[in-house]
Amino acid sequence: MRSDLLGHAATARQEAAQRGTTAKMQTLEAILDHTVATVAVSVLVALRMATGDKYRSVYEAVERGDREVSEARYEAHRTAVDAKLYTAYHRHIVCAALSPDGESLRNYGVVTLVLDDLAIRERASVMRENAFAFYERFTLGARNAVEDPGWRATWDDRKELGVAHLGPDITPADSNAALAQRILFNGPDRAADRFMEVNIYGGIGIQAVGRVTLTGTVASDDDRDWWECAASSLRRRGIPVSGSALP
Amino acid sequence: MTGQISLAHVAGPLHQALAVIDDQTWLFEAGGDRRRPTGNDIRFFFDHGLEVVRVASDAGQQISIDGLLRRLDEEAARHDALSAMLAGMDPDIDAALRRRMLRRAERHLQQKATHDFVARRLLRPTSAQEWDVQGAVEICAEFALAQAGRLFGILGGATLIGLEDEIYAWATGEGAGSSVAAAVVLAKARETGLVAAIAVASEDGTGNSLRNLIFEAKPAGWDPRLVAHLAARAAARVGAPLPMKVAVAALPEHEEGERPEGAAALRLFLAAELQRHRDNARRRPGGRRAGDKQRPLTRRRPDAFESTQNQVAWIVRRIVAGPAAGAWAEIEALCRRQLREGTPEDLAKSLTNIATQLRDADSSLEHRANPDGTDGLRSVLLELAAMCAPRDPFIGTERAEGWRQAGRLDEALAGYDAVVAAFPDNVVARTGRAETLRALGRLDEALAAYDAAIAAFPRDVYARNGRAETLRALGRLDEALAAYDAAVAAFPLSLVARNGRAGILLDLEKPADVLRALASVPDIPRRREDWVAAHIRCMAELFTTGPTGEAEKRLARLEAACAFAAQRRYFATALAVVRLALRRPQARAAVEDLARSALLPREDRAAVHLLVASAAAADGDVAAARLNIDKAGELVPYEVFQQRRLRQEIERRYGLRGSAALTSSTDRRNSEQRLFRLSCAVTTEMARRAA
Repeated sequence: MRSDLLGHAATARQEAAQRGTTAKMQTLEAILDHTVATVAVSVLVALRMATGDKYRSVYEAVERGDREVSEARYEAHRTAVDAKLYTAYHRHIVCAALSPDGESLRNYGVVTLVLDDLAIRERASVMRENAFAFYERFTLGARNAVEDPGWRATWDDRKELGVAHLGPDITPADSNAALAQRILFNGPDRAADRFMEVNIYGGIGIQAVGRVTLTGTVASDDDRDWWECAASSLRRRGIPVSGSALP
Repeated sequence: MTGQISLAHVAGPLHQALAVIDDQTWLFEAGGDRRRPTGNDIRFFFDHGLEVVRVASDAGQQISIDGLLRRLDEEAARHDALSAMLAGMDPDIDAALRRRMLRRAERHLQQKATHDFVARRLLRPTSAQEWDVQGAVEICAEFALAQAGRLFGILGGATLIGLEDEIYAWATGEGAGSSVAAAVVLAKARETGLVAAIAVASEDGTGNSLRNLIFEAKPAGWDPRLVAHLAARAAARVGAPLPMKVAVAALPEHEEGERPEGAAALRLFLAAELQRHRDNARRRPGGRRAGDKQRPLTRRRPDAFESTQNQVAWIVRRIVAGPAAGAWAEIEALCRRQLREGTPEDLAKSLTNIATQLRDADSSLEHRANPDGTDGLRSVLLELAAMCAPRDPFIGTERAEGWRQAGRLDEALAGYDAVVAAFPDNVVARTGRAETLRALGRLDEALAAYDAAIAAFPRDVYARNGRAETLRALGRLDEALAAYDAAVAAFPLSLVARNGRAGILLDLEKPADVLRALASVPDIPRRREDWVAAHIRCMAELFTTGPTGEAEKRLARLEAACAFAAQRRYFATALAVVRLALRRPQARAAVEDLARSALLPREDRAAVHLLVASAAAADGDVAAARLNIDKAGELVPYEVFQQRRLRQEIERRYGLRGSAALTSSTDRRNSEQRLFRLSCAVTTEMARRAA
């Protein structure tokens, strides 16, 4: 509920005032105002997205009838989290990370897709943390368990959610960089990552991508070449690309 | 990891596989890495892995993890190759990257399964605006990427469009009720790889691959009758008659009892049908009556033309594959149909069309089913055509042209004379008559005939080119050049005139002028005529540089890149010339094999005999040289120019006709150089004739 969310945010601001971190809170709010949604993907996924339209006539396979059934079966075997958090529509959700500076979760892929605000604002919501942590926080695996209200937000209310979720943890010693890292932190592995999860309904196509960055190291010559192909196609579509595949 | 895979899919484009193992989902990467997938992984897998293939399910197939990984690697390699090929012809991608991509594709394409997969996906008509196929061909030629180059050659050539047209026409003729139904047949042929398989198999130039297509590989979903139809048509194009027999044999047996008894029966049948048709036309409201200029009411279907063309092609194939008697029933069916749906004049055109195609087949196939050729049958067809349309001049010119090509030059001249007398304004007859005079060696009369034809039909490019060739045969090379200059000026788009002019410049030993004249021809052309021009230009460069290892490599590269089977043979022949000159081991034996090749049309075999003659002369084997010149003369008695030049050269070199014997080493070198140049001229002539 939005009223619950606004209540959590107001409480966080009051606590910040009591702890003398109002200035930091205001800085955090300014950063949250400019956050974007990012998705980390592999080079090949980026390539297929970038070249999909042009190469479609060749890559257009005959549609298989059991595709949706197959996809559902893999989902069913994977986890109950999605089914619980996005009941009845989990198969339509793509997950992104809320990013203060266009960074993404590097443990998930070396290419960062920064999604265009306009393309997602009507169909994206934000959770205070990633789905697994959220699931465990509210012990949603228990029978009839429900989450506490007010810890998800629409895209436009993401600042309020960030204030409510991160505000209690900020300290007077936090630098701007540290504040940004509270929104998205890349750990040494996926389990150590910390981020606010963005859930986008309806998937993402290349039309929703506003910028692409190569953020990781491309290990092989093959991937370097594929990245160059993808970058070339993206530039042709007018999508800014940054990052070199060369070591 | 061990465990039972109950469900597995592979997405080649992403180099990933998903598998449910012991009730847990795992994501495998090509190369062996594995992890639990995220929701995004699964969604991208199915959203962007458009080529998702199910390799195991709990309902049926079982697969081990090793088997899954092997399958994943195969699929990844296929898509890697396909993507690399696409990147290689993508004009928006950096040139260095395109080169790397094509080298990678070439490595993958060495695997037959990968090659077949890429061919199936890639070989479909392509937008020239969106893709730079020509650029890809050039890169392949530069790095000698034979497999990739061949696929791009097909992609950039006319084969695919021709094949798809044939399939469409076949489907229409076979009763596809609508254009949508025909399009479905075409889409199926494309998706099941039939189009690609025929296109690739046509490229080997021997017909063996086409035969294998029918007997050894019959993927599910291929319509055997369509395969036979396409294979036979393709085999006819590459000049390999055996697969045509095979193709016909693959069809349901013809019912012997239904065959009419030869030409006499058909003649009677047609006479009766024509009479009935005329009676019907008179009775039909609005039909033709004596003196009435209105066309009769017909029930012609909108697609009747394509369908009839298809039927004509089928009849030609049956006759060429032999025995000819087997085609009588089809000819009768054609007669019935066209008299029902069209007019006797339409039928006359179809019958003449069959005769024309048979003539072309006769001139290009050495080992046809009927060793006597189809002269007799063609005569009957033209006689039947004349029954249908006695005032059609094309029937007379076709008959005369058939005689001319069969070497029956006196009859041909008489035939042309008769048509010219009846239809003095028929340009085909006028130029055909002039051509026949040239073949008879009556060059002055030929020249006069051409002059008259040009005066009457100044916009006829064939007359202009024929006149230039006659001047050439007269040895009046400067005038021939002037004639070609005028032809090129008047018909700047005539590639035959352009190439003919270049050939004269080569005769005049002006290689620099040849290079200038053909400067606009791409290094790796697309059109057939441009390949001829590229060949002439290559020969001009050889005139300048002489035979070198570099030239040998270049010709080998061009041979590999050339998409047209006939033109590729000319580069092969030119390569043989260079190898002969470089004294490569077995070079002469290779050329002699070429001369015996059943794949070469008669005129080209004659030209190869001239090459053997020049090689023999260079070796000092005068007897062999003369023997081969004689063989060339037997094969093509009316093509005398190169034979005469070569004979004169050999006689001059060996002092056989009163001139001083060439004994000094310097003179010997010069003489060998001249022989080499003459050999180049011979291959140039071959290529020009093919165009």
